[in-house]
Amino acid sequence: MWQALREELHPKDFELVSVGLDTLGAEGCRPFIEAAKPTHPSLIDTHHVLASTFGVINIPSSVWIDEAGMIVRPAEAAPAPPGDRQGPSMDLPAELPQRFAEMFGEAMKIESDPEAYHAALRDWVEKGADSPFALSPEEVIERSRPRSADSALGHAHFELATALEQLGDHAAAIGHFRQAHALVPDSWTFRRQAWSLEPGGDSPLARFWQGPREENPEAWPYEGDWLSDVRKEGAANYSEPWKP
Amino acid sequence: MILNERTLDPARFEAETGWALKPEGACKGDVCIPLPDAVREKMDAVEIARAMGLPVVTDERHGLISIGPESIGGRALTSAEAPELTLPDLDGNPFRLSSLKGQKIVVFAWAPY
Repeated sequence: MWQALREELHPKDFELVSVGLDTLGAEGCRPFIEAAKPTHPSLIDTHHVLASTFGVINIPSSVWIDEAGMIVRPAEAAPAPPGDRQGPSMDLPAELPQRFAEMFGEAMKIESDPEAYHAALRDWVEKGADSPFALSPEEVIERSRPRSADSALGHAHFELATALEQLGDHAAAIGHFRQAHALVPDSWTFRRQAWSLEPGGDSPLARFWQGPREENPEAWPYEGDWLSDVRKEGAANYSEPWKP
Repeated sequence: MILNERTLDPARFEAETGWALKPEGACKGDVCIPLPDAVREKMDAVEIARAMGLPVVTDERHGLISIGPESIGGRALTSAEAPELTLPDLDGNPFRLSSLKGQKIVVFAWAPY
């Protein structure tokens, strides 16, 4: 678990800051944070400022920052420590609907290299700037996500969508989420966030449904959904491969 | 950032976008975008954003203005200097990332969906 890793590395002047990205704010994140009981700062990012300021496009992902406040690795996929189950833990219902079974099947195909990532993290915590995994400022900027004028505009639409959602104007929010999806096509978080705000049944997994309901598929307001998009893009391409 | 009015609060603008309004223009790290005096004097958020090349999207019905991030460098980061980031914890208490200076930090993004 990240929590155990944090306890181990904390005496070496290391701190973990976890940030929950959710338009529903603290209420969306609360059950998971209360179950994890983190001893490190655990923050709520209602408007996904991590997307606009750091270029986060997927979760889980991380940004490494050194003692002087310089980013040494920009946003990149951050697998859970080796041996851990990936993703937030929760109790699964005994009988899963077919869609969930198919989603878990796809999720199993998502590739990551926890060993390489976590060996690099430990190396950096140990050696600091002498670690080959600490990148120069130029490399950090170069490796951060491409940002076109269209992409920047998409971020503005996304933030407006979250603000409208919070005001309870779901219909208006959908329009701006759709714009954000079209303008920032590489962001999984922008899509998953919007999909997770649609009705997903009444199980504890409702927010993971993220797709049309069998009883009323034409009511689905988005171009894609989790299962279709992962299949279209290929589960193996869900996260960019980790680059030393 | 989301605004409910067009008048810009420079402190909030800097806290949320990382752009500080200085005599030489709007600055982040080593990068400064010059601002015409006429724009600067009015402190109109939309005009300042447009002069900086930041995207603006509005919702008339709710009176909301959304100012998006810069794209001048073609990358999400214009500087490797970590932006000042202040986010609330579960109880709503603001936490400043810069309060951890002197330690190595991993900012870990997750989501409950």
